[in-house]
Amino acid sequence: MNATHSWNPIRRTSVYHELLELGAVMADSEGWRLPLHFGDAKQESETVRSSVGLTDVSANRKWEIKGVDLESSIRSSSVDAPLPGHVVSTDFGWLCRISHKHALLVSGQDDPTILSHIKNQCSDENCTHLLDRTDGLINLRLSGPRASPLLSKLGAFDLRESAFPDLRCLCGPMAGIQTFLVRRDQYELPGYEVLFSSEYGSYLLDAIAEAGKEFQIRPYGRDATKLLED
Amino acid sequence: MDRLDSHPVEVIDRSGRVSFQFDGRTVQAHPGDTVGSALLASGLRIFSRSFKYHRPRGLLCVSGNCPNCLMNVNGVPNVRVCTRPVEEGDQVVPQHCWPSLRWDAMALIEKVDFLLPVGFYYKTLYRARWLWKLAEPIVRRVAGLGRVDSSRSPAGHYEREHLFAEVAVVGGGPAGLAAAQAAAEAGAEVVLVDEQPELGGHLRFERAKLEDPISGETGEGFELARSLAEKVKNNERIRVLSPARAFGGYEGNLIGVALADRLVHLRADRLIVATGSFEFPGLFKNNDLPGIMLGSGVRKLLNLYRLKPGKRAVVVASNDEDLALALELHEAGISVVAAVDQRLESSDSALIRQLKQLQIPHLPCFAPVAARGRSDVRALEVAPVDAEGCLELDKSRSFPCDLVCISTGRSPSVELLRQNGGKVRFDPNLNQNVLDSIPSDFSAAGHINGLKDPALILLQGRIAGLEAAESMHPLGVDLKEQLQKLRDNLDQGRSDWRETVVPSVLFTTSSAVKQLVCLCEDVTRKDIDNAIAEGFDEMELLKRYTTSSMGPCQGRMCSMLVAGSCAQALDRDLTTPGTTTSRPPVHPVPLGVLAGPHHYPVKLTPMHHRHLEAGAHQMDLGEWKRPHTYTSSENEWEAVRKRVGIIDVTTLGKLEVQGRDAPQLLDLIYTHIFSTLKVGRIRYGVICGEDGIIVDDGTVSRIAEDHYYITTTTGNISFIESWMEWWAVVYGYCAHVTNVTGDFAAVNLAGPNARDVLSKLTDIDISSDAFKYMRFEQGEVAGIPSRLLRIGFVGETGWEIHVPSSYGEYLWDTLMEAGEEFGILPFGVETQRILRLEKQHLIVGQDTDALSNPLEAGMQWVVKFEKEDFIGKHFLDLVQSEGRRNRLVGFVTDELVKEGSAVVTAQTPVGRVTSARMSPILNRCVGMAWVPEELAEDGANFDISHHDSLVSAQVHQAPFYDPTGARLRE
Repeated sequence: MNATHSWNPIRRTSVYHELLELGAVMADSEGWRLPLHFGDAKQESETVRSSVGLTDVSANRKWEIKGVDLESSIRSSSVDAPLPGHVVSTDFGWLCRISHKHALLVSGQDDPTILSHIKNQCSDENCTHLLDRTDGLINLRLSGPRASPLLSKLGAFDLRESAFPDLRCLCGPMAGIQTFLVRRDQYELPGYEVLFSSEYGSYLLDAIAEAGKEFQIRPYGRDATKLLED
Repeated sequence: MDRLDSHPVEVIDRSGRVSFQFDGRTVQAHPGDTVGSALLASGLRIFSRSFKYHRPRGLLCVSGNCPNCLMNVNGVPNVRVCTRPVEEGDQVVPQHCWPSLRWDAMALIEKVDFLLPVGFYYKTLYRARWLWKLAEPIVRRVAGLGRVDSSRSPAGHYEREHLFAEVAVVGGGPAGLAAAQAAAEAGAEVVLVDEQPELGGHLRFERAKLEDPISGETGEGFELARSLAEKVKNNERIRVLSPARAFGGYEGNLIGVALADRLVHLRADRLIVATGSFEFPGLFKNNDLPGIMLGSGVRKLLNLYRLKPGKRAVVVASNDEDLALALELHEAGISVVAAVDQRLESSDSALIRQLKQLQIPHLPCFAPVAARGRSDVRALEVAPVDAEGCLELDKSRSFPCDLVCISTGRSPSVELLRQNGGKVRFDPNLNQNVLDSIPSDFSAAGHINGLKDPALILLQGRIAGLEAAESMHPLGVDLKEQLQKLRDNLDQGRSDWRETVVPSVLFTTSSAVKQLVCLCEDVTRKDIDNAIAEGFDEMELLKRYTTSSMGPCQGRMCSMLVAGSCAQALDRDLTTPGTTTSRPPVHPVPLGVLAGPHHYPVKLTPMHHRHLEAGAHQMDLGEWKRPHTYTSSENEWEAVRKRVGIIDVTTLGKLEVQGRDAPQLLDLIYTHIFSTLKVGRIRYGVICGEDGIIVDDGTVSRIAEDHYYITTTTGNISFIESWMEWWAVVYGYCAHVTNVTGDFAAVNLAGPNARDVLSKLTDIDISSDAFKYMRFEQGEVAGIPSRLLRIGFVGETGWEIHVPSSYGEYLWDTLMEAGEEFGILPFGVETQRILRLEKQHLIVGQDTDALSNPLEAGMQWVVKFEKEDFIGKHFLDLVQSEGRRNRLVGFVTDELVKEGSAVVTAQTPVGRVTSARMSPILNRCVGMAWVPEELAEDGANFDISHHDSLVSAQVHQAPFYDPTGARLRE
């Protein structure tokens, strides 16, 4: 190999081409090529406020934690271990306890503090293991008041406020494929993170878009996200 | 037909006009009309032709229960036009008649009905068998319902929705509305399902003065209905699905609800069934003639659409409430020529005195005997009923009329409750079915319980709503007190709270005349008698033999008539026959609604778009889309064998197995040994089931002492993941199995120049000494963290390169660019199949089946009997000791044979070809086949059946290409 060659690898999520077809204007960010906007960031944010919007946040780092000593592994960090089906959300991102022995950690940071705590606890002695699933799981986010009715068209999820309030998670089939569904409200709007195996990215995006037609769903990019945060 | 004077009860907007096409002519209607009411207003009397005999049929129930008004609307067959709101531009066409509804030539069938006795298709047309082939198309053309227009475009767009509620109320009548309102007031989230376009149930056409016992509000019935409906619609806690039909009850408090274009799966903690009751017809000669209608249907036409369905009417009823229809008809200007009262005891109520005052003849203890007329009713013949319930035909009287209103039989709509375990029984005092038990989590309110007083119905609805909500939301003091008071009030009215009816099935009549028991399937009283005479004397047997209750009404119009006929034929009372099992769907549901949206999962690799850009011909492999070929298999084969080729192998199943017991787990799962595999090495492995049959194969790479990276066949990954997890749990192993198929994009770079290409992109020493065959390394390729596996499925020097899937496209582009100078070509699955066949590498599922074990598949070298145990060991021990019966062998032939062809010796099929392709290197067909053990010797000959001839084949035990594997190791 030419030692002087500098590579510039670009990462694309598994819905990259579908987002391009939807009119995404892409920009590179920390090695990923991600949608900046889809023509009109303001309108995108307004759609999120009034109906439902979809954004691809697959570039977030994701780790799957499996093990019998999950409780202590998580508790040893600064975060209390959530109950199964619950989510803790802090500045590092969020952690969803799928079951007693199974959790999912998602973060915008490459190496959040909590990760090193968990890594320290993961060992064969306590049979707890960590696996980077950033590429394996695509992460779409649905935000807006019509997000729940849209999801109810795709899976048998009880999304009533009483049954699935903010910071809850579950595992279940959506449009025929297995997904992790996390309720994570943002911008004072109902919001859901949908995580699933990346090879289904194009398929499930299409299914969501089709189901969302009656709600005038729109994709939104990082610009609209900033507007919503403001 | 003229409309009656305007009245607030009507639902039509007389200021508006809607026009639609019916059978080639334009029909005018008002907004609010149904297609049925508009057609009746236009003078139509015959709405359909019956299933078998093509008898004329007119509006009957006007509630969407009976089969009499099925038409094709906008290309959709079997639409019940009596409940379908009319829309501008609708195209309505009658169905199942020729040349017209009025003159249907196929009605001649009735003249030969003696040739079509009950169950005739069981008795005829089966001998000789060819007869059925001739008869079937004729029977299908003559009988049946509407036809699906398969060319209709668009075929329809259907949605599916999952709804959850604390309380679900089925039925939007007074009881349902009161229940929904009460449950919501108590804090529950409610979903209300009603099949009619407007809420209110029978109160919508009730003009009697009523008082709401809860609010104290007074007014005519329809005013109260509107007021209740408005409150419900405006309640934020109540979601109304209307018009929507709850068509089935399933376990887990699941109700299937069909809307026009969507299926709703409704699950609720508590369910209130307030589906009311329905009337069914009387049983007398020609009881299906147009002009004979159910009383409730007539009342709807009079009030909601302000139509006069006739000029001279006979009312047949069995209680004062139903007999009161005579007054409504009289008030509407319809001459009531007789009020036939089927009650066996004469009564002298205020209503009867009123009838007499109006000079409407009241005939106590009379019942219909026959209707006269050809295409519609012209007269009704009635006869007195004696004390034994026998009709005294010699004393019969005939009343000329064009409208007969029947209100003599009523059944509760209990299907949803019965499907969830509820029971009904026939009450001989009320002469109708009543609820005997209600499943837990369910309650019933209103007419379904036989209640007749609207005030009591409202009370019971409210009680049901409060009780349902109470289980989730403790009631406040006020509501608690109110609930107790309501219960007391209901108890006070309990003594006389149910209405008694006297259905005509109670009367003994002759079956010699044509009395239609099942309107949907044209089953007559005589058919029932004949079936019973043949031994089909149980309701379930009768149903299957006569097909009664199997039509669009699903027994609503006929089940009591069948039961009554059965009871009479067997000389038993009506408590004996019972009912048939209630199964979903209660109502017809379009198949499109059941099918819902198209959700066929598809998996794409990260390089999918690159393949499309390169002109790949795609093929489906399970859920995956894979390139079959890009150019031609010859070109691609040449690139791999002589230069370098690249194939996307992302579709391989991939697993990470972590944990201190991972080695033990893999030793258990695989026939080979993996606990001894050194870190950085790869070993091929086969997985067997407990029966020793090959389940899967693939490579196992050891990343660390407690960490393995495994590939499986494309289609088996989910099963293998579950299989490993299962055994890990069974043995209590510390081993975590994760399916990482989507985590890694993978390519196989293979060919004499593969090393040249790869070396341009990595610092890893990939020389043959440093990176040997079946070794595993991690490092960077083109700046990407990669896993390199030195393996060779296609028989050339090569590497599988696995990278995080987000880099897949980048890796592909980079390899193609780096390989350009070496003439790199992408190759597809077809080329890969040729290449691997030349090496005699088997594909599990292609070359193996449910009887293939590794010993017979020629892979004894992967079975390590020295291990203490592995899955399938016991069975493979038996094969080992008893000897192999069959073998998977390579073969060559001079011409291409088909996969699946039989291996033949002595004109007997003894095996089969599993794979076969023309090999460019041999210019002969190479393949693999299962043959008997005695044929499995190198050089042995056998024949392969091919296009009615035999092709000579020769066993070739060693790979056809590079038999020593030198190229793999270069």
